[in-house]
Amino acid sequence: MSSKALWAAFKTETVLYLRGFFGPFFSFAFPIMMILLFGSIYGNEPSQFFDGQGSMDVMIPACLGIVIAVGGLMTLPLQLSEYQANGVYKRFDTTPVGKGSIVAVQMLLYIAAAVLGAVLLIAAGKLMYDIRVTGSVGVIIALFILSLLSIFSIGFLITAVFKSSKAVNLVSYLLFYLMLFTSGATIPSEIFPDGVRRFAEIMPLTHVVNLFKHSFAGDWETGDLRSVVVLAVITCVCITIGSICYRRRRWA
Amino acid sequence: MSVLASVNSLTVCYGQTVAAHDVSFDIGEGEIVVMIGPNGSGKTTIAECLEGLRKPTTGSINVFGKDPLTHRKEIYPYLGVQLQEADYPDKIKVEELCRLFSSFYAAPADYQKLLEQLDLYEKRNRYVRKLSGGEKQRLSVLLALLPRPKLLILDELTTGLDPEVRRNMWDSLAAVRDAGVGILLISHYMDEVAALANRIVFMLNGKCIYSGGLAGLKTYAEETLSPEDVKPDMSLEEIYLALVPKKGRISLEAIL
Repeated sequence: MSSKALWAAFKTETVLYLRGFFGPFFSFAFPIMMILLFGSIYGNEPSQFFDGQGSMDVMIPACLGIVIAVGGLMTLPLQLSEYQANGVYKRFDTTPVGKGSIVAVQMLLYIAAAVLGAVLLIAAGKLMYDIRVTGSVGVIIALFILSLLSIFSIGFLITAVFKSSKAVNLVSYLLFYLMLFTSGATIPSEIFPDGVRRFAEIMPLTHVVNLFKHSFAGDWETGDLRSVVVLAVITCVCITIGSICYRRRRWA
Repeated sequence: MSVLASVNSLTVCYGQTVAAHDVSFDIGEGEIVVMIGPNGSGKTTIAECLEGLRKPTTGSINVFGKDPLTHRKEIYPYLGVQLQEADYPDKIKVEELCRLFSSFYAAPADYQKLLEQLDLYEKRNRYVRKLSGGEKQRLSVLLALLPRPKLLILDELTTGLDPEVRRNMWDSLAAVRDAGVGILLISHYMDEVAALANRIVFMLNGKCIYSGGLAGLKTYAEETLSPEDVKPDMSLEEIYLALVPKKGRISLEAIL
Protein backbone atom coordinates (compact mmCIF):
# COMPACT_ATOMS: atom_id res chain seq x y z
CA MET A 1 0.00 0.00 0.00
CA SER A 2 1.45 3.35 -0.98
CA SER A 3 2.02 5.96 1.71
CA LYS A 4 -0.31 8.28 -0.22
CA ALA A 5 -3.16 5.79 0.16
CA LEU A 6 -2.27 5.08 3.79
CA TRP A 7 -2.34 8.78 4.64
CA ALA A 8 -5.61 9.37 2.76
CA ALA A 9 -7.23 6.45 4.57
CA PHE A 10 -5.98 7.75 7.92
CA LYS A 11 -7.33 11.24 7.23
CA THR A 12 -10.70 9.89 6.09
CA GLU A 13 -11.03 7.56 9.06
CA THR A 14 -10.15 10.44 11.40
CA VAL A 15 -12.92 12.60 9.92
CA LEU A 16 -15.38 9.71 10.26
CA TYR A 17 -14.25 9.07 13.84
CA LEU A 18 -14.78 12.71 14.78
CA ARG A 19 -18.24 12.70 13.17
CA GLY A 20 -19.28 9.85 15.43
CA PHE A 21 -20.22 11.38 18.77
CA PHE A 22 -19.54 8.44 21.03
CA GLY A 23 -15.79 7.87 20.56
CA PRO A 24 -14.56 11.46 20.87
CA PHE A 25 -16.96 12.25 23.73
CA PHE A 26 -15.94 9.30 25.90
CA SER A 27 -12.23 9.54 25.01
CA PHE A 28 -11.70 13.27 25.42
CA ALA A 29 -14.61 14.96 27.21
CA PHE A 30 -16.07 12.40 29.61
CA PRO A 31 -12.90 11.63 31.65
CA ILE A 32 -12.26 15.36 32.11
CA MET A 33 -15.90 15.89 33.11
CA MET A 34 -15.48 13.12 35.67
CA ILE A 35 -12.43 14.71 37.27
CA LEU A 36 -14.09 18.14 37.23
CA LEU A 37 -17.09 16.69 39.01
CA PHE A 38 -15.17 14.75 41.65
CA GLY A 39 -12.51 17.44 41.89
CA SER A 40 -15.11 20.09 42.68
CA ILE A 41 -16.43 17.89 45.48
CA TYR A 42 -13.23 16.55 47.03
CA GLY A 43 -10.40 18.76 45.74
CA ASN A 44 -6.93 17.23 45.87
CA GLU A 45 -5.96 17.55 49.53
CA PRO A 46 -4.22 14.52 51.05
CA SER A 47 -6.94 12.21 52.29
CA GLN A 48 -6.89 9.35 54.76
CA PHE A 49 -9.34 7.54 52.56
CA PHE A 50 -6.64 7.22 49.87
CA ASP A 51 -3.75 6.53 52.24
CA GLY A 52 -2.56 10.12 52.29
CA GLN A 53 -2.88 10.72 48.53
CA GLY A 54 -5.21 13.38 47.15
CA SER A 55 -8.49 12.28 45.52
CA MET A 56 -7.31 13.52 42.14
CA ASP A 57 -3.94 11.80 42.47
CA VAL A 58 -5.88 8.54 42.54
CA MET A 59 -8.81 9.47 40.33
CA ILE A 60 -6.85 10.56 37.28
CA PRO A 61 -4.78 7.40 36.80
CA ALA A 62 -8.02 5.45 37.32
CA CYS A 63 -9.75 7.51 34.61
CA LEU A 64 -7.09 6.39 32.13
CA GLY A 65 -9.00 3.12 32.25
CA ILE A 66 -12.03 4.89 30.70
CA VAL A 67 -9.94 6.19 27.81
CA ILE A 68 -8.55 2.74 27.03
CA ALA A 69 -11.90 0.97 27.48
CA VAL A 70 -13.70 3.35 25.10
CA GLY A 71 -11.16 2.69 22.36
CA GLY A 72 -10.83 -1.06 22.84
CA LEU A 73 -14.32 -2.10 23.90
CA MET A 74 -16.50 0.41 22.05
CA THR A 75 -14.95 2.22 19.10
CA LEU A 76 -12.87 -0.68 17.82
CA PRO A 77 -15.42 -3.52 17.89
CA LEU A 78 -18.40 -1.37 16.83
CA GLN A 79 -16.57 0.16 13.90
CA LEU A 80 -15.01 -3.10 12.73
CA SER A 81 -18.31 -4.95 12.87
CA GLU A 82 -20.15 -2.16 11.07
CA TYR A 83 -17.65 -2.25 8.19
CA GLN A 84 -17.80 -6.04 8.15
CA ALA A 85 -21.60 -6.25 8.16
CA ASN A 86 -22.12 -3.57 5.51
CA GLY A 87 -19.57 -4.98 3.09
CA VAL A 88 -17.30 -1.94 3.40
CA TYR A 89 -14.22 -4.14 3.86
CA LYS A 90 -15.29 -6.26 0.92
CA ARG A 91 -15.23 -3.21 -1.33
CA PHE A 92 -11.79 -2.21 -0.02
CA ASP A 93 -10.65 -5.77 -0.66
CA THR A 94 -11.15 -5.27 -4.39
CA THR A 95 -8.74 -2.30 -4.45
CA PRO A 96 -4.93 -2.36 -4.25
CA VAL A 97 -5.26 -1.31 -0.62
CA GLY A 98 -7.11 -4.30 0.79
CA LYS A 99 -9.00 -4.87 4.00
CA GLY A 100 -5.90 -5.53 6.13
CA SER A 101 -4.45 -2.07 5.57
CA ILE A 102 -7.75 -0.38 6.40
CA VAL A 103 -8.06 -2.38 9.62
CA ALA A 104 -4.47 -1.41 10.48
CA VAL A 105 -5.25 2.28 9.83
CA GLN A 106 -8.34 2.06 12.05
CA MET A 107 -6.39 0.40 14.90
CA LEU A 108 -3.69 3.05 14.60
CA LEU A 109 -6.29 5.80 14.76
CA TYR A 110 -8.03 4.39 17.84
CA ILE A 111 -4.68 3.92 19.56
CA ALA A 112 -3.75 7.51 18.69
CA ALA A 113 -7.09 8.68 20.11
CA ALA A 114 -6.44 6.77 23.35
CA VAL A 115 -2.95 8.27 23.65
CA LEU A 116 -4.33 11.77 23.03
CA GLY A 117 -7.14 11.19 25.53
CA ALA A 118 -4.61 10.07 28.14
CA VAL A 119 -2.34 13.07 27.51
CA LEU A 120 -5.29 15.49 27.75
CA LEU A 121 -6.49 13.89 30.97
CA ILE A 122 -3.10 13.98 32.68
CA ALA A 123 -2.47 17.54 31.46
CA ALA A 124 -5.86 18.63 32.81
CA GLY A 125 -5.05 16.97 36.14
CA LYS A 126 -1.70 18.69 36.32
CA LEU A 127 -3.12 22.11 35.42
CA MET A 128 -6.25 22.05 37.51
CA TYR A 129 -5.25 19.99 40.57
CA ASP A 130 -1.46 19.80 40.32
CA ILE A 131 -1.57 16.01 40.70
CA ARG A 132 1.55 14.31 42.04
CA VAL A 133 3.16 11.59 39.92
CA THR A 134 5.79 9.95 42.07
CA GLY A 135 6.21 6.72 40.06
CA SER A 136 8.54 6.26 37.09
CA VAL A 137 7.27 7.72 33.81
CA GLY A 138 8.91 4.88 31.87
CA VAL A 139 7.00 2.27 33.86
CA ILE A 140 3.74 4.20 33.39
CA ILE A 141 4.27 4.31 29.62
CA ALA A 142 5.13 0.61 29.50
CA LEU A 143 1.98 -0.23 31.47
CA PHE A 144 -0.08 2.04 29.23
CA ILE A 145 1.11 0.09 26.18
CA LEU A 146 0.38 -3.25 27.85
CA SER A 147 -3.09 -2.06 28.89
CA LEU A 148 -3.86 -0.78 25.40
CA LEU A 149 -2.82 -4.09 23.88
CA SER A 150 -4.83 -6.21 26.27
CA ILE A 151 -8.08 -4.21 26.18
CA PHE A 152 -7.89 -3.69 22.39
CA SER A 153 -7.25 -7.41 21.90
CA ILE A 154 -10.51 -8.13 23.74
CA GLY A 155 -12.35 -5.85 21.29
CA PHE A 156 -10.65 -7.62 18.41
CA LEU A 157 -11.68 -11.01 19.78
CA ILE A 158 -15.32 -9.91 20.07
CA THR A 159 -15.43 -9.00 16.37
CA ALA A 160 -13.75 -12.29 15.47
CA VAL A 161 -16.07 -14.53 17.48
CA PHE A 162 -19.42 -12.90 16.76
CA LYS A 163 -20.53 -12.54 13.17
CA SER A 164 -23.58 -10.31 13.44
CA SER A 165 -23.06 -6.69 14.33
CA LYS A 166 -26.00 -6.93 16.73
CA ALA A 167 -24.19 -9.55 18.79
CA VAL A 168 -20.97 -7.54 18.68
CA ASN A 169 -22.84 -4.44 19.86
CA LEU A 170 -24.52 -6.32 22.69
CA VAL A 171 -21.35 -7.95 24.00
CA SER A 172 -19.31 -4.76 23.62
CA TYR A 173 -21.82 -2.56 25.45
CA LEU A 174 -22.20 -5.16 28.19
CA LEU A 175 -18.48 -5.56 28.79
CA PHE A 176 -17.83 -1.82 28.46
CA TYR A 177 -20.38 -0.71 31.06
CA LEU A 178 -19.69 -3.61 33.38
CA MET A 179 -15.99 -2.80 33.40
CA LEU A 180 -16.52 0.96 33.44
CA PHE A 181 -18.42 0.85 36.71
CA THR A 182 -16.75 -2.08 38.52
CA SER A 183 -13.09 -1.48 37.65
CA GLY A 184 -12.72 1.66 39.70
CA ALA A 185 -12.28 3.77 36.55
CA THR A 186 -15.36 5.88 37.30
CA ILE A 187 -16.44 5.01 40.84
CA PRO A 188 -13.49 4.70 43.25
CA SER A 189 -13.06 1.00 44.07
CA GLU A 190 -12.21 2.01 47.64
CA ILE A 191 -15.94 2.42 48.34
CA PHE A 192 -16.95 -0.99 46.93
CA PRO A 193 -18.10 -3.72 49.32
CA ASP A 194 -16.04 -6.93 49.27
CA GLY A 195 -18.49 -8.82 47.05
CA VAL A 196 -18.26 -6.24 44.25
CA ARG A 197 -14.51 -6.10 44.64
CA ARG A 198 -14.22 -9.87 44.21
CA PHE A 199 -16.41 -9.71 41.11
CA ALA A 200 -14.34 -6.83 39.74
CA GLU A 201 -11.20 -8.96 40.09
CA ILE A 202 -12.22 -11.03 37.06
CA MET A 203 -12.56 -7.91 34.90
CA PRO A 204 -9.40 -7.08 32.93
CA LEU A 205 -9.99 -3.33 33.28
CA THR A 206 -9.74 -3.65 37.07
CA HIS A 207 -6.15 -4.80 36.65
CA VAL A 208 -5.49 -1.87 34.30
CA VAL A 209 -6.91 0.63 36.79
CA ASN A 210 -5.00 -0.84 39.76
CA LEU A 211 -1.74 -0.85 37.84
CA PHE A 212 -2.17 2.80 36.84
CA LYS A 213 -3.03 3.84 40.39
CA HIS A 214 -0.02 2.09 41.85
CA SER A 215 2.43 3.10 39.13
CA PHE A 216 1.45 6.77 39.40
CA ALA A 217 1.95 6.66 43.16
CA GLY A 218 5.09 4.56 42.83
CA ASP A 219 3.98 2.17 45.57
CA TRP A 220 3.76 -1.36 44.29
CA GLU A 221 1.57 -3.98 45.84
CA THR A 222 2.11 -7.71 45.79
CA GLY A 223 -0.80 -8.28 43.42
CA ASP A 224 0.60 -5.99 40.76
CA LEU A 225 2.93 -8.48 39.14
CA ARG A 226 -0.01 -10.84 38.87
CA SER A 227 -2.01 -8.08 37.11
CA VAL A 228 0.80 -7.62 34.60
CA VAL A 229 0.80 -11.35 33.89
CA VAL A 230 -3.01 -11.41 33.61
CA LEU A 231 -2.98 -8.59 31.02
CA ALA A 232 -0.16 -10.19 29.04
CA VAL A 233 -1.96 -13.53 28.96
CA ILE A 234 -5.24 -11.87 27.89
CA THR A 235 -3.40 -10.17 25.02
CA CYS A 236 -1.81 -13.39 23.77
CA VAL A 237 -4.97 -15.48 24.10
CA CYS A 238 -7.30 -12.94 22.47
CA ILE A 239 -5.00 -12.25 19.54
CA THR A 240 -4.36 -15.96 18.93
CA ILE A 241 -8.01 -17.05 19.11
CA GLY A 242 -9.18 -13.96 17.20
CA SER A 243 -6.72 -14.61 14.37
CA ILE A 244 -7.77 -18.25 14.10
CA CYS A 245 -11.47 -17.25 13.97
CA TYR A 246 -10.82 -14.66 11.26
CA ARG A 247 -8.80 -17.08 9.15
CA ARG A 248 -11.53 -19.72 9.39
CA ARG A 249 -14.24 -17.23 8.54
CA ARG A 250 -12.51 -15.77 5.48
CA TRP A 251 -13.85 -18.31 2.99
CA ALA A 252 -17.02 -19.31 4.80
CA MET B 1 -7.96 -9.98 -29.26
CA SER B 2 -6.05 -10.97 -26.16
CA VAL B 3 -7.67 -12.65 -23.18
CA LEU B 4 -7.83 -10.53 -20.02
CA ALA B 5 -9.40 -13.03 -17.67
CA SER B 6 -10.39 -16.65 -17.75
CA VAL B 7 -12.52 -18.92 -15.63
CA ASN B 8 -11.34 -22.52 -15.98
CA SER B 9 -13.53 -25.46 -14.87
CA LEU B 10 -14.54 -23.44 -11.83
CA THR B 11 -16.46 -25.20 -9.07
CA VAL B 12 -17.42 -23.45 -5.84
CA CYS B 13 -19.15 -25.23 -2.96
CA TYR B 14 -20.55 -23.70 0.22
CA GLY B 15 -20.75 -26.68 2.51
CA GLN B 16 -23.19 -29.06 0.77
CA THR B 17 -24.42 -26.46 -1.72
CA VAL B 18 -22.76 -26.32 -5.13
CA ALA B 19 -22.90 -22.64 -6.13
CA ALA B 20 -20.99 -23.08 -9.38
CA HIS B 21 -20.17 -26.30 -11.18
CA ASP B 22 -17.47 -26.70 -13.83
CA VAL B 23 -17.86 -23.26 -15.39
CA SER B 24 -15.41 -22.01 -18.02
CA PHE B 25 -15.29 -18.83 -20.10
CA ASP B 26 -12.96 -16.00 -21.08
CA ILE B 27 -13.22 -12.23 -21.13
CA GLY B 28 -11.21 -10.58 -23.88
CA GLU B 29 -10.00 -7.08 -24.54
CA GLY B 30 -12.71 -4.82 -25.92
CA GLU B 31 -15.66 -7.12 -25.38
CA ILE B 32 -18.67 -7.23 -23.12
CA VAL B 33 -19.51 -10.62 -21.68
CA VAL B 34 -22.92 -10.63 -20.03
CA MET B 35 -23.76 -13.24 -17.43
CA ILE B 36 -27.46 -13.96 -17.18
CA GLY B 37 -29.57 -16.42 -15.22
CA PRO B 38 -32.09 -16.51 -12.39
CA ASN B 39 -31.34 -15.40 -8.83
CA GLY B 40 -29.12 -17.90 -7.06
CA SER B 41 -27.73 -19.44 -10.24
CA GLY B 42 -24.11 -18.68 -9.30
CA LYS B 43 -23.41 -15.43 -11.18
CA THR B 44 -22.21 -13.38 -8.22
CA THR B 45 -20.15 -16.30 -6.91
CA ILE B 46 -18.24 -16.44 -10.20
CA ALA B 47 -17.77 -12.66 -10.25
CA GLU B 48 -16.44 -12.79 -6.69
CA CYS B 49 -13.93 -15.47 -7.66
CA LEU B 50 -12.69 -13.19 -10.47
CA GLU B 51 -12.47 -10.33 -7.97
CA GLY B 52 -10.36 -12.44 -5.61
CA LEU B 53 -13.00 -12.38 -2.89
CA ARG B 54 -13.75 -16.07 -3.04
CA LYS B 55 -11.64 -19.18 -3.25
CA PRO B 56 -12.52 -21.75 -5.93
CA THR B 57 -13.17 -25.23 -4.55
CA THR B 58 -11.69 -26.68 -7.72
CA GLY B 59 -10.67 -25.18 -11.03
CA SER B 60 -8.81 -21.94 -11.46
CA ILE B 61 -9.17 -18.23 -12.14
CA ASN B 62 -6.81 -16.11 -14.16
CA VAL B 63 -6.88 -12.34 -14.29
CA PHE B 64 -4.20 -10.72 -16.45
CA GLY B 65 -2.54 -14.15 -16.45
CA LYS B 66 -2.37 -14.35 -12.65
CA ASP B 67 -4.28 -15.83 -9.74
CA PRO B 68 -6.19 -12.97 -8.05
CA LEU B 69 -5.86 -14.62 -4.64
CA THR B 70 -2.08 -14.55 -4.64
CA HIS B 71 -1.28 -11.56 -6.87
CA ARG B 72 -3.36 -8.69 -5.47
CA LYS B 73 -0.72 -6.09 -6.21
CA GLU B 74 -0.49 -6.90 -9.90
CA ILE B 75 -4.24 -7.19 -10.45
CA TYR B 76 -6.17 -4.65 -8.40
CA PRO B 77 -4.55 -1.54 -9.90
CA TYR B 78 -6.20 -2.42 -13.25
CA LEU B 79 -9.45 -3.95 -12.06
CA GLY B 80 -12.65 -1.91 -11.74
CA VAL B 81 -15.33 -3.49 -9.58
CA GLN B 82 -18.93 -2.75 -8.77
CA LEU B 83 -20.27 -5.16 -6.17
CA GLN B 84 -23.90 -6.13 -5.89
CA GLU B 85 -23.93 -5.85 -2.13
CA ALA B 86 -21.42 -3.39 -0.78
CA ASP B 87 -21.87 -0.29 1.20
CA TYR B 88 -19.62 2.56 2.21
CA PRO B 89 -18.74 3.95 5.63
CA ASP B 90 -21.79 5.36 7.35
CA LYS B 91 -20.74 8.98 7.77
CA ILE B 92 -18.76 9.57 4.59
CA LYS B 93 -19.59 12.18 1.96
CA VAL B 94 -19.56 11.62 -1.79
CA GLU B 95 -16.46 13.65 -2.56
CA GLU B 96 -14.54 12.24 0.42
CA LEU B 97 -15.21 8.73 -0.82
CA CYS B 98 -14.05 9.64 -4.34
CA ARG B 99 -10.89 11.26 -3.00
CA LEU B 100 -10.15 8.25 -0.81
CA PHE B 101 -10.54 5.74 -3.64
CA SER B 102 -8.49 7.95 -5.99
CA SER B 103 -5.60 7.76 -3.55
CA PHE B 104 -5.53 3.97 -3.96
CA TYR B 105 -4.42 4.17 -7.61
CA ALA B 106 -1.24 5.48 -9.18
CA ALA B 107 -2.89 7.28 -12.10
CA PRO B 108 -6.61 7.51 -11.34
CA ALA B 109 -9.22 9.07 -13.61
CA ASP B 110 -10.24 12.61 -12.65
CA TYR B 111 -13.09 12.07 -10.20
CA GLN B 112 -14.34 15.65 -10.54
CA LYS B 113 -14.93 15.05 -14.22
CA LEU B 114 -16.55 11.68 -13.54
CA LEU B 115 -18.83 13.29 -10.94
CA GLU B 116 -19.98 15.73 -13.61
CA GLN B 117 -20.38 13.06 -16.26
CA LEU B 118 -22.40 10.85 -13.96
CA ASP B 119 -24.52 13.81 -12.87
CA LEU B 120 -23.36 13.61 -9.26
CA TYR B 121 -21.42 16.86 -9.04
CA GLU B 122 -24.27 18.67 -7.28
CA LYS B 123 -24.37 15.87 -4.73
CA ARG B 124 -20.67 15.86 -3.94
CA ASN B 125 -21.13 17.24 -0.40
CA ARG B 126 -23.97 14.86 0.47
CA TYR B 127 -23.61 11.93 2.80
CA VAL B 128 -23.45 8.75 0.72
CA ARG B 129 -26.19 7.13 2.80
CA LYS B 130 -28.52 10.02 1.93
CA LEU B 131 -28.25 9.37 -1.82
CA SER B 132 -31.12 7.77 -3.71
CA GLY B 133 -30.73 4.21 -5.01
CA GLY B 134 -29.90 5.38 -8.52
CA GLU B 135 -27.39 7.96 -7.29
CA LYS B 136 -25.65 5.37 -5.15
CA GLN B 137 -25.50 3.06 -8.13
CA ARG B 138 -23.89 5.76 -10.28
CA LEU B 139 -21.40 6.41 -7.49
CA SER B 140 -20.39 2.72 -7.46
CA VAL B 141 -19.88 2.93 -11.21
CA LEU B 142 -17.71 6.01 -10.70
CA LEU B 143 -15.55 4.17 -8.18
CA ALA B 144 -15.26 1.20 -10.53
CA LEU B 145 -14.00 3.50 -13.30
CA LEU B 146 -11.49 5.41 -11.11
CA PRO B 147 -8.57 3.01 -11.69
CA ARG B 148 -8.90 3.45 -15.51
CA PRO B 149 -9.42 -0.31 -15.50
CA LYS B 150 -8.42 -2.82 -18.16
CA LEU B 151 -11.12 -5.13 -16.82
CA LEU B 152 -14.46 -4.02 -15.39
CA ILE B 153 -16.74 -6.32 -13.41
CA LEU B 154 -20.20 -4.88 -12.93
CA ASP B 155 -22.71 -6.83 -10.86
CA GLU B 156 -26.24 -5.65 -11.68
CA LEU B 157 -25.05 -2.28 -12.85
CA THR B 158 -28.31 -0.75 -13.97
CA THR B 159 -30.54 -1.97 -11.13
CA GLY B 160 -32.22 1.09 -9.63
CA LEU B 161 -31.46 3.41 -12.54
CA ASP B 162 -34.24 5.21 -14.38
CA PRO B 163 -34.73 4.35 -18.08
CA GLU B 164 -32.97 7.44 -19.39
CA VAL B 165 -29.87 6.97 -17.24
CA ARG B 166 -29.89 3.27 -18.09
CA ARG B 167 -29.75 4.06 -21.81
CA ASN B 168 -26.99 6.61 -21.23
CA MET B 169 -25.09 4.03 -19.24
CA TRP B 170 -25.29 1.59 -22.16
CA ASP B 171 -23.78 4.16 -24.52
CA SER B 172 -21.01 4.89 -22.03
CA LEU B 173 -20.26 1.22 -21.51
CA ALA B 174 -20.11 0.65 -25.26
CA ALA B 175 -17.63 3.54 -25.51
CA VAL B 176 -15.52 2.10 -22.69
CA ARG B 177 -15.54 -1.27 -24.44
CA ASP B 178 -14.54 0.31 -27.75
CA ALA B 179 -11.57 1.83 -25.97
CA GLY B 180 -10.35 -1.73 -25.34
CA VAL B 181 -11.65 -2.45 -21.84
CA GLY B 182 -12.99 -5.95 -21.16
CA ILE B 183 -16.29 -5.94 -19.30
CA LEU B 184 -18.11 -8.64 -17.39
CA LEU B 185 -21.66 -7.53 -16.78
CA ILE B 186 -24.26 -9.35 -14.72
CA SER B 187 -27.77 -8.41 -15.72
CA HIS B 188 -31.41 -9.39 -15.46
CA TYR B 189 -32.53 -7.01 -18.21
CA MET B 190 -32.75 -8.67 -21.59
CA ASP B 191 -32.94 -5.37 -23.50
CA GLU B 192 -29.58 -4.53 -21.93
CA VAL B 193 -28.17 -7.91 -22.90
CA ALA B 194 -29.37 -7.47 -26.48
CA ALA B 195 -27.91 -3.97 -26.67
CA LEU B 196 -24.51 -4.69 -25.17
CA ALA B 197 -23.48 -8.33 -25.16
CA ASN B 198 -20.71 -9.54 -27.42
CA ARG B 199 -21.09 -12.87 -25.68
CA ILE B 200 -23.50 -14.40 -23.20
CA VAL B 201 -22.80 -16.76 -20.34
CA PHE B 202 -26.13 -18.33 -19.36
CA MET B 203 -26.12 -19.72 -15.81
CA LEU B 204 -28.70 -22.11 -14.45
CA ASN B 205 -28.43 -23.86 -11.05
CA GLY B 206 -24.69 -23.29 -10.89
CA LYS B 207 -24.01 -24.62 -14.37
CA CYS B 208 -23.23 -22.72 -17.51
CA ILE B 209 -25.83 -23.99 -20.00
CA TYR B 210 -24.75 -21.75 -22.85
CA SER B 211 -21.76 -19.61 -23.64
CA GLY B 212 -21.50 -17.79 -26.95
CA GLY B 213 -23.04 -15.10 -29.15
CA LEU B 214 -26.63 -13.86 -29.21
CA ALA B 215 -27.47 -15.59 -32.48
CA GLY B 216 -26.12 -18.87 -31.16
CA LEU B 217 -28.43 -18.71 -28.15
CA LYS B 218 -31.44 -18.85 -30.45
CA THR B 219 -30.10 -21.91 -32.21
CA TYR B 220 -29.31 -23.48 -28.85
CA ALA B 221 -32.87 -22.80 -27.64
CA GLU B 222 -34.40 -24.30 -30.79
CA GLU B 223 -32.32 -27.44 -30.34
CA THR B 224 -32.93 -27.79 -26.61
CA LEU B 225 -36.57 -26.85 -26.22
CA SER B 226 -39.41 -29.13 -27.14
CA PRO B 227 -40.94 -28.09 -30.50
CA GLU B 228 -44.15 -26.75 -28.94
CA ASP B 229 -42.14 -24.28 -26.85
CA VAL B 230 -40.34 -22.84 -29.85
CA LYS B 231 -42.07 -19.96 -31.56
CA PRO B 232 -40.89 -18.10 -34.63
CA ASP B 233 -39.23 -14.71 -33.94
CA MET B 234 -38.81 -15.26 -30.21
CA SER B 235 -37.39 -12.26 -28.40
CA LEU B 236 -34.39 -12.70 -26.14
CA GLU B 237 -36.65 -12.41 -23.11
CA GLU B 238 -38.94 -15.14 -24.47
CA ILE B 239 -35.97 -17.40 -25.11
CA TYR B 240 -34.70 -16.74 -21.58
CA LEU B 241 -38.08 -17.54 -20.03
CA ALA B 242 -38.44 -20.69 -22.09
CA LEU B 243 -35.00 -21.96 -21.05
CA VAL B 244 -35.45 -21.27 -17.35
CA PRO B 245 -37.57 -23.93 -15.63
CA LYS B 246 -40.87 -22.61 -14.28
CA LYS B 247 -40.78 -21.78 -10.60
CA GLY B 248 -43.86 -21.86 -8.44
CA ARG B 249 -45.79 -18.81 -9.62
CA ILE B 250 -45.47 -15.83 -7.33
CA SER B 251 -48.87 -14.46 -6.39
CA LEU B 252 -50.19 -11.72 -4.20
CA GLU B 253 -53.69 -13.05 -3.89
CA ALA B 254 -53.44 -13.23 -0.12
CA ILE B 255 -54.27 -9.52 0.03
CA LEU B 256 -57.42 -9.80 -2.08
